[in-house]
Amino acid sequence: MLLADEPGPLTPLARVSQEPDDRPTDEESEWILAAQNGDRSASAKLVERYWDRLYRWLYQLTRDRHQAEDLVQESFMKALAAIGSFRTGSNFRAWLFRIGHNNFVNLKRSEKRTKHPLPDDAADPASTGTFDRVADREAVVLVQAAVDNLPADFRAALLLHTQEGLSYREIAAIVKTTEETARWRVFKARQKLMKVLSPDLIPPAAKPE
Amino acid sequence: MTCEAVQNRLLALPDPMSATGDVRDHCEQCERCAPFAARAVELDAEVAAIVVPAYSPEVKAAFLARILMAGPVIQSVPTPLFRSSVSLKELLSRIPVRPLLAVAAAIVVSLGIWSVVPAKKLPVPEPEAMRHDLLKKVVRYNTDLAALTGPKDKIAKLSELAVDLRNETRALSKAAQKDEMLSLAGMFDKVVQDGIVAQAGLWNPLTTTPGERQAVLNAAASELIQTANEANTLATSASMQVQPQLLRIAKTARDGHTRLTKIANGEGV
Repeated sequence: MLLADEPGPLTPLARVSQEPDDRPTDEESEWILAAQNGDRSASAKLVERYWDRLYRWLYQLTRDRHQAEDLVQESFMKALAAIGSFRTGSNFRAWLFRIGHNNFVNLKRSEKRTKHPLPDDAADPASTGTFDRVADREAVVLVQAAVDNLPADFRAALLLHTQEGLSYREIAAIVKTTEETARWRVFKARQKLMKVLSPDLIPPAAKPE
Repeated sequence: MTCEAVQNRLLALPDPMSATGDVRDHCEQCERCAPFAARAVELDAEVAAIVVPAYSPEVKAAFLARILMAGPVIQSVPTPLFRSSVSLKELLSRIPVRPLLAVAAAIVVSLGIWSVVPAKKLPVPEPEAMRHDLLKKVVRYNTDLAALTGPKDKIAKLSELAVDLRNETRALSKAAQKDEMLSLAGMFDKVVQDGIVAQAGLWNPLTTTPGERQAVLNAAASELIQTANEANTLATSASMQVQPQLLRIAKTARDGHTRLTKIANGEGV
């Protein structure tokens, strides 16, 4: 059931995004062009630039380091093999992440049984210097657990938006959906997180799902 | 506008901090929605700050090495196009019709004969059941392990299994498909992490002499480091499909070696 003023997936007004595209830098365009002409060092530069980000996203989708590493490699192999067909000037990151998402979906389809993450594979958020205060670190741990419990579609869209700073249009292209559905997934993900993490701030009428 | 509607609009914004108009006015005056807006902004920052376990730098390095390696570049081969000036009629006229008709006629005649002549049933040999030495060994190890009681004997037996897996890895590294190597790497993980290291952790130092305990653990650790080195070497010449799994085996072996050495030296797991 949609709540009051929720953005429905098919709201026509929101179909056209006003957000700017994440255009590639000149440097990156040069690398892509060189890679298209067979320059391996240019391909390696693209791998260097996007490895961490793609791994981070895929890890949060799979929650398995080895699977995420395999998916990253597979995605780069496919992307570099098909780089000749990449349209110069379009968004390489979105294209690469889309390949990564396809691989993730294929992996999940091929898995015959559900896998559960091993607890010792989880990162220790305390080891990062991003959040210095103990309270902040604890908050991130709680948020991490709540994000892990989101449905995979919502999680994928939210992480692309908040961690990668991608627009709804770019997210839609990556996860093969409409821009409005991407917007709705980010909204629902945030809404679920708020209900779990800050239930006291939700008006009583909105609390039941 | 209700608080619920305001909050939903806030969460639907690309950036909850960018509220304008009615939504911002409401948030400035409402005791419930002001902290909600602040929390929504914080939440995005916290999600952005989530950390994940680090990837194996060896996997990335091996991948980059592979990309940079000399050899043919992976590129699509353009399909040669016919000249546009060649008409369809001209193309069809170039196809040799007579030989094709002769082949088609021969097929029709053969099918006719085959349909009227009763076919002799040839004896079909029974397919020989697939035999897999490693599988047999694993079954035997499991049987042996079930009969053992103490960590000392179990560690020794599991180390033997780990060595067999190393030999299998060596044999398969050149020819195995990704799935096979994945299974092997998974099995190796299990033997080392859930088997050898786990048993070493359970081994009460008071049940044996320090020298004997150290000898058993060091022997197992020594085999593991040998496996790590060998798997790393194999990875340099293996195909892209199996390379990550070889590096995974190497890492598991190295981690196992580190943990066993620590336990042997009384530093715990």
